[in-house]
This record gives sequence, C-alpha cells and structure tokens, in this order.
Amino acid sequence: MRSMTAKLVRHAQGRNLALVVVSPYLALIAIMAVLPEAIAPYDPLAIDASNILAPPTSTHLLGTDEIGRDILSRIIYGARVSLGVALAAVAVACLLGVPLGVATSYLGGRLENAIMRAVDVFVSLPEIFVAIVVLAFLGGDLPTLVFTIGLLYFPQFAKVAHGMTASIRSREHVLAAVSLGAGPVWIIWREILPNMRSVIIVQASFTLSFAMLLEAGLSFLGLGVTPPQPSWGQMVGTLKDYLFTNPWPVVFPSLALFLTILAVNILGDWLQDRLNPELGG
Amino acid sequence: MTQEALLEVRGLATHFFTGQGIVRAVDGIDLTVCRGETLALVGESGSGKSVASLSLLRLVEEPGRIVAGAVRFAGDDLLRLSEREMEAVRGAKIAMIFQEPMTALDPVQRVGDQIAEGLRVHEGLARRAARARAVELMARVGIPDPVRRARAYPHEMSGGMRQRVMIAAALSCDPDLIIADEPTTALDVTVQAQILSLLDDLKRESGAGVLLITHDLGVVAEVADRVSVIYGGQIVEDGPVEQIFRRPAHPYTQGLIACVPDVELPRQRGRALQSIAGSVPSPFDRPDGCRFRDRCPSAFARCTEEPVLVPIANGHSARCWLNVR
Repeated sequence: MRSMTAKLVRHAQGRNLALVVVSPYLALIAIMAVLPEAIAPYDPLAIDASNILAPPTSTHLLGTDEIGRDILSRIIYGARVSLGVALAAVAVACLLGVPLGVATSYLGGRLENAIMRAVDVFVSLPEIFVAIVVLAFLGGDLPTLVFTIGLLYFPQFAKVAHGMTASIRSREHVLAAVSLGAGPVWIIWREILPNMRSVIIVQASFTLSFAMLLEAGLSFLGLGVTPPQPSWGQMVGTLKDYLFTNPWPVVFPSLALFLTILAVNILGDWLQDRLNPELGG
Repeated sequence: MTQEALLEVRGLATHFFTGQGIVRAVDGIDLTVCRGETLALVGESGSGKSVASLSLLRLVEEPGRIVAGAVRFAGDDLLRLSEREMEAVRGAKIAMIFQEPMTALDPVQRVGDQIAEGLRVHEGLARRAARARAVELMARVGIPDPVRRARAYPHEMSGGMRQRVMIAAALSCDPDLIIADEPTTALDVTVQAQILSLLDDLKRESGAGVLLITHDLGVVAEVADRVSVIYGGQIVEDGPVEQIFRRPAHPYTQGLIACVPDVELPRQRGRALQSIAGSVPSPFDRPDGCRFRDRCPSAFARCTEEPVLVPIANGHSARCWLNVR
C-alpha cells in the first residue's frame, strides 16, 4: 500500500514535470500569437536586400528567407495563423460535433443510425484531398480555412460524444438523478456533459495537433493563408526550393511546428490525468 | 398506527419485450404502503423486486414496459401522468435510494452538489442556497464535518458515508415515500445496522412511508412493519412482519426463513446450511400453475393449477393451495 502511494506520488511529479517543461513553451507561443509585434525583432514583411537566404547570424538570429525577410520574425508572426486557425477549427469541430453526438444518442432509432453512418462517411474521407477541393472552389481566406478544417474534424467529436452519451446514460447515477426528478435537459448539462468533459478535452488536444498539421499541409501546398502573411507551413512550402542551397530557413519553422504539436500533446495527456477526479484532483 | 394508504399498487405488470420472447418480470402485483410504515418487499435476485420498484417511478428502460396496473399515490394514478408531471413527483414526493452508492453517485460531482440536485430541480434554489441546505442535510444524516465533506468527491468517502449521502439526497425535498432498493447490501454488517437505524429514525421524524426492497430477512426483521414476499413476479405472501416470521404460510417464505443462518448456535455448525433447492425458474419457461412448485417440498397435485392469494388471518394472505382447505 505504502509503496503504491509512493509510486503514485512519483508518477504525479513526473506528470507535473512534463507540464513544467511544456507550459513556458506554450506560453511563449501564445504570446507570439497574441502580441507578435512586442517580441519580433523585425517587421515580418521587411526586406533586407543585403541578406538573402542568410544562415543564422547575430543580426538575423534564425537567418533570412529568399527575399531577405527575417525568419525569426516570420515564425513569431506565423504563430498567430498556425495556432489561431487550429484553435478556431477545433472550436468549430467541437461545437458542431458534441451537440450532434449527444442529441443523436437521445434521438435513438433509425434517425440515430442514419446520422451516425453519415458521420462515419465523413470520418473515412481523406482529409487533405477534401480540403484541397473545398478550398479550390471557395478560395483560401481564413474563415474558409477554419471552417473546412473544423468540418473535417467534427465527426470525431460527434462519435466520441455519441458513444460517451450512450454509456453515461446507462450509468446508475443518471438513473438516480432521474429518480430525483431531473429532466433530460438537466441530465445532459449536469450529468452527461461533465462526465465526458475530460474525454472531450483530450480529444480536442489531439485534434488541435491534427488541425495544426493540416493547416501547415494546406499552407505548404499554397492553399492556406495568402502570402505575404506568414504561416509556418507556408514558410516551409516556399523555402523548400532552397533546401539544398541553405537548409536553415526550412528547419526553423518545421521545428516550431514540431515542438508546438509535441507540447500540445503533452498538455493533453496531463489534462487527461488531471481532469479525472479519481486519479488526480 | 395510522392506516391511511399512501401508495396503492394494483395489478402492476412490467414485461420486457426481448428478442427471445416476453419476460414477465413483474406480473400483476399489489402493494400498499401506509404513512409512517415500512413495507418490505422481499425476494431473491430475479424475483422482480427491483423492476417493481423502478416501475413505481416509471424508470424502467426499454425493452421493459409497464403493461397493466395502477399506481395510486396522493390521489393520482402515476401511470397516467405525463412525463413532465412525473418529473415533479420524482424526488419531491417519492425518492429512491439505490443499492450501490458508488455507482449511484456521479463520480465527477462534489457530493454536496449531488445532494442539492433535487432542491435545485424542484425548488429552483440557487447554487449557493442549495449548498447550504445540502450541508444541513448531511448533518442530519450523521455525516461528521459536513461543511468540509460537502466538497468531497464520492471516491473520497467510505461506503457507509456514501450511502448516507444517497439518503441525504433522497430526503432533500421531504418526500412522502422513500423507496430503498437494497440500501444496505453493499455495506459491511456493522455499517448496515447504522444505516438501517438512520432510515428508521428519519422515517419516524418525517412520517414518510418506506418501501424497502431486500433479500435479507435479517434486515426485514429489524425494520419492517409489513412484508410482501415476491416470487416469479408475483406476490406469494403478504402480512404483518410478526405473522410472517411466526407463522409463514407459503413454503417459499418458510424456506427463506429457514435459510437464515443462526449465529447464536455455533455448536451446531455441523448441521448443513439450509437452502432452497433449485433456483428461480427462467422467466421464459416458468412452470404453469404455482411458480414455486418445482422447488417446493410440499407440492401436490393441485399445484399445477394457478393458486390465488387467499386471506389466512387479519391482514395476512398467501398464494398457496396448502392454505385452502
């Protein structure tokens, strides 16, 4: 018993350790996204004609791109697009998917089946191709990008919410709440949604990293944000042509993307443990 | 004791329409609970007692359906109320205590908020006011340090404390009838006694009626005023608790009483533990006639005919041909 407690404590410290490492990084990315002008050394669009495709130096810490713009500043400004688009898309996916999943479980019968099969079809769509088609027809402005990515990821939320609703509804504490006179609306708000909260948050954190990757992929292909506004994926896309002359400009935005996704996933894991009152609290 | 009937169940039948056929889990039962009285509904697992109790509040889920009967309570037939009207009865007029307080409490909600749930639903109390009432209720059911305990989660409490929380939640709106479905089965024996006496005290204070569902005759002897024995979805014997224990008229009741191990006679341990041969018949093929006849030590020719509930003494009746001379 004692050794088990000690193990749990160590485990908790290990978990929090990960958070201690990850949260300053994510805070930095958040500041970059919200207030890029406060920390960026240069205007992301300013051209330094004397430094084209320069390697990291003391004037340009991470080097410059093909027309002499400061890579560090562009990464800082790019955080807003990369993080902002992904966050907004996850919000869209969550706000569409969770109510649909919960409501479908309550509908029951044939309609439930029909809707969930339609959702399955959505899940099996190859996301990048669908996104390419949609963006090709609707044009690549930011709201369209957000909505497209959100639409591609809402089925996961719908499926999780649907399954969780079915399982939570059959639990005895829901029956107990009904026996106390709670109606369906109360049950959904007070019993079902709180009990799926941790699962949805974890789902959201993983979806956030998928959405960042998808946004980066689309921007890489030139379907995301319109230049000259920077985003990480778009920077990699344009700079890949110079990979063999100077690999540095490609490495840094890729690294930013990689580290951010890793950090988001670690945060998601931590939240998962933390939000379950039976494990952490 | 006042004999004002609080709850009158007549001919209640709840069937489950499954793929393999119709399960007549509750098959025409009558129950009466008076104000200030504890009626014990006694039966083995599978006898239909839990389905019966859920049926009273119309909590039976698909594929189960209440197919016949009446549940008269406070001038209404609960089976004829709309779902909205039924919500106003649940918790406020009739409250339920469940068997397993671990699963019957929401793991992600603080216990104080769960106790306050009924108050918020029925009386529209704000969160803060409801919490204050929850603390009072926790004190009333004997939870020490209720202010601090109200902020605990269910897993942080012991089984006995959790059952007290359930009881506090059930009492929150001063119900007239409390349905307790095996409220002590999941608890240690010592804690069982505490919970039973708590229930008894609360009943006495509030004058509510209690319908106690149990398989444990020890519990029955301790707190019940009257007993209804259920077997195969039917009431097989019904009467005041003393009559049932002194002069059980149905062989099934006699068997149940013989099964209770006698702790006071450890010397006789050599004697085999009593049991009733066989098990509850599958509801898909119950014997016709008396449903107990396959297991009954006194079965005779007439048992192939369906017996009826016949009065034996004042307020005591049994469904057995042995009593019909």
